[in-house]
Parts: sequence; C-alpha cells; structure tokens
Amino acid sequence: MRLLAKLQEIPYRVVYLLVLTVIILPFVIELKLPVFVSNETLMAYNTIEQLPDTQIVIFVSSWDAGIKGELWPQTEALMRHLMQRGIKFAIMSQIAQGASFAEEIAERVAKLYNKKYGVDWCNWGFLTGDAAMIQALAKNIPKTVQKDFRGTPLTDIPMMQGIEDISDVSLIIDIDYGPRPEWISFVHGPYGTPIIFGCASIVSSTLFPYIDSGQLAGLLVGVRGATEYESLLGYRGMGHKLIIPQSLAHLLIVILVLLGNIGYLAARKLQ
Amino acid sequence: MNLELFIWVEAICTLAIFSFLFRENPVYRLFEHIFLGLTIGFVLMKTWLEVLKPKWWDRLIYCIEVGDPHFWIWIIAFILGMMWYFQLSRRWYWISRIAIGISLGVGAGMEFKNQFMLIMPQITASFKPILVRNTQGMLQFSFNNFFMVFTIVAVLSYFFFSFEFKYKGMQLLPRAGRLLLMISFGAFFGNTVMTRFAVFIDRIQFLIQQWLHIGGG
Repeated sequence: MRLLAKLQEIPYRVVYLLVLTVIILPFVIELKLPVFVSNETLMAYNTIEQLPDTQIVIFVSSWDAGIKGELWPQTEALMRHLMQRGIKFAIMSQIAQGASFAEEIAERVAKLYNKKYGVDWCNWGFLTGDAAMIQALAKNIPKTVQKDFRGTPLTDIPMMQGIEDISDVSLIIDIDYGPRPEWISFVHGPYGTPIIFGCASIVSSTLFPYIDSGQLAGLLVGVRGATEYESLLGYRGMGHKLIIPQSLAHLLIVILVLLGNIGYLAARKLQ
Repeated sequence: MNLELFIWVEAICTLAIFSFLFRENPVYRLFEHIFLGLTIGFVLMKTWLEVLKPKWWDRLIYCIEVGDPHFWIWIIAFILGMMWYFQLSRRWYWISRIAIGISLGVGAGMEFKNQFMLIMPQITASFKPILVRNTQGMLQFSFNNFFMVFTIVAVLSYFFFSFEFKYKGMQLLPRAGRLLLMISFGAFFGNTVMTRFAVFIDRIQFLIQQWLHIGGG
C-alpha cells in the first residue's frame, strides 16, 4: 500500500523524461495509427469541394511561431485543397507575423501545383482594425486593402480584377489561435458568406456552438483537424507526423492521471 | 545565409528556451530578452510598413500633393492617435481620456452589434425538438436534442440565485448542472493539454528530424 501511495509523488523530472521518450519514439521508429474524420472537418472539406471557381476565397492567417505546431499543418492542408481545385485565394493577417508564415506555405504549395502569384493567389498582408476593418472589407475590398504584401497596388494584380466587395468572395477561412467571431457577426450574419475556422485545440470547445447553430461551415481543431484534412486529401503531411507522438503523449497523461489517483486513494487508506 | 545555418540558429534558440525546464538560468533569460526585442522590432516595422505608411502617411502626402481640401482628416487621425500618449503624463492625463472615450463609444456600439449577431442564432438553435420524427437515426437525434436541452436547463438552474430550491427533487437539477459544467471544464482542460503538446511536439520534431537528421525528414 505504501508503494502505491508513492505513485502520487513521482518527481516531475521523471514525468518530463517519460513524456520526452514517448514523443521522440515515433520519430525514430515508424508507427501508423488509423485516422477517423470528424464531422466538423468533413463539413469544411465539403464546403471547399462545392465552391465555384468564379469567386475568390479570403484566407485569414493570423497565427505566429508560438502556435506553428497546430496551425501550420492546417494552413498547408487548406491551401493544398484550394490550389488543387483551382480556386483563387487572397491571404491576409490580423497580426504582424501571420502573413509571412502564410506566404511561405503558399509559395511551397504553389510550386507543387504550378500556381502563380497574382494569378492564382495573392497576399494582402497585415490588416489592422478588427471589426471596423472587417466591415469596411465587406463593403469595398480595393479601398480597404489598397496594396498587397509586396507593395503592388491591388488594381495591378490580375486575380483582383473585378473583385469589388464581399459578393465576389465565396468563402472566408480564418486560421487563428482563437479565430475572430467578428467574421461571423459582420460577414456571415449580414451577407451569408460561409466561414471556416481553423483553431488551436485549446479554444475549440468555445467554437462548437457555432457549428451547431449553422454559423460555421466547418471547423479544423488543432493537429487532429489538420491530420483529418490531410487524409481526406490523400497525403501524409506535417499533421500525420505530429499526431502519432501526440496520441502517445495523451495516452501517457491518462495513465499518469490514473496512477496519481491510485496513489491518492492508497494514501487515504493508509491514514 | 544557407538553410543549414538557419536550422542551427533555430535549434540553439529552441534549446536555450527549453533549458528553463531544468531550471531558471542566464542563457534562458538572454534568449527571452532577444525574443522580446525581436518581436517588438518586428511588430513596429510591420505596423509602419504595412499599416501606418500605406493607410495613413501616403494618403496624407497624396492629399497634400494634389491639393485635396480634405487632407485635414488625416491630421485629425494623427492628433487622436497621439492623445493616447498623454497617459504617460500626470498633468495632461485628461487629454488621453478624450481618445479613450471615443474608442469606448465606438467599441461598445460595435460590440453590441457583434454580440447580437453572434448570440441570437445560437439562442434560436437551442430550441430543438426533443422528439425527432421522420429522420434516419431518430433515436440518436432525439437523445442528442434531449441531452442538449436538459444541459441548458440544468446549467441555467445552477446560476439561478433569485430563490432557494427547497424541495429535494428540485435540488437535483442545479446539481446536475454543476456536474455537467465540471465535465465541460474537463473537456477544456483536455484541449489545453492537446495544444501544449502540439507546440512541444513540433519543436521536438524539428530538433530530431531537421536538426539531427534522425528518422524520416
């Protein structure tokens, strides 16, 4: 019983070592786990599958290095799908670092599908102003954005010809640590434009009600959402690389929680 | 700079930050300050190049050059922006309150619209039929809807403070609400663990596969 009671006193450095071991292991030894696609990911996939190629998609990428692990694979998977389908998209960010990361991913994916900057995709860069900017963008895109990330006037970008307001936009994708609900209230609400969110797992619980109420057309949750999307597209990317160590780490945490509780109960019996 | 050098710099930075897991140390602090400085510099540069310059400075200069009589609008924007900095002075603090007042007024108006557009569809979506008919998986949908409606009522009853639930049967409802809230907090915590691990695993993947070239790249 005393031995069991000691289970709640496992030194934290031993826990760190165990976590590190289960995380490193899948990178050294190849392991495979089945992927089951959740409803919210499938909704996002189906929405993009049904998009017309006559309008553009606004791809909001407002994440930085701190959350790269979860949101890089999501951004890549969604951009792959858009380019695969030949749907033109414009990147923008509501934080300073966001547009640079999205640009890097778009350039990589564009090489795979032989897509050109300005013709198939463009980058509007960093746009501040939150709700006010979103409302202005919905009413007049060229006036709100003016120049792209590289300083080219929007009027000189071929894919932006004829793009005036939100009626020329078929979908908004917002990939963010915690996506901005203002897109729902100021774009989906008054104009009906569908919206897909990609978020860090930590905030996903707060976003599920929007799926239930039909305000979101899809939701990608952390690495899980990215991995599911990759499997729908039929490729094994960053999501697949990260999900296996993550699953093992979760399993370890569950085991440690159980052990801690066993230790707690044993200690209570001893008293 | 070649890619290999970039990877080495990134690996050293990652390891320096991870050194905090062992204990607080000068290397960690040095890199923490480097990151802070870099971030502030980067945001300042981006804000000037991508926001202030094209959307304010260039427009002001253009208006002056073409003789647009409305150029003063951009000067007012500058004055309003500068008002915020009077917060740093005890004597002139009151000037910053004008800017704060305008921001609060505009913000409150927008937030009202925002919340209305966000919450109303969710309230209407909460009114679900408990008995779903003429659908495939009728039992499953009915159970889901019943569970959702029950959760809403139970959680609302937990936050109902106007009178005491005296009868034992009635006390069960807020208790169920508390239990359901605890379950949802558990889900929040589970998701927190998921995000923290994803961030950590991304760095480990970088160190193992891109820096040390172990396993499949």
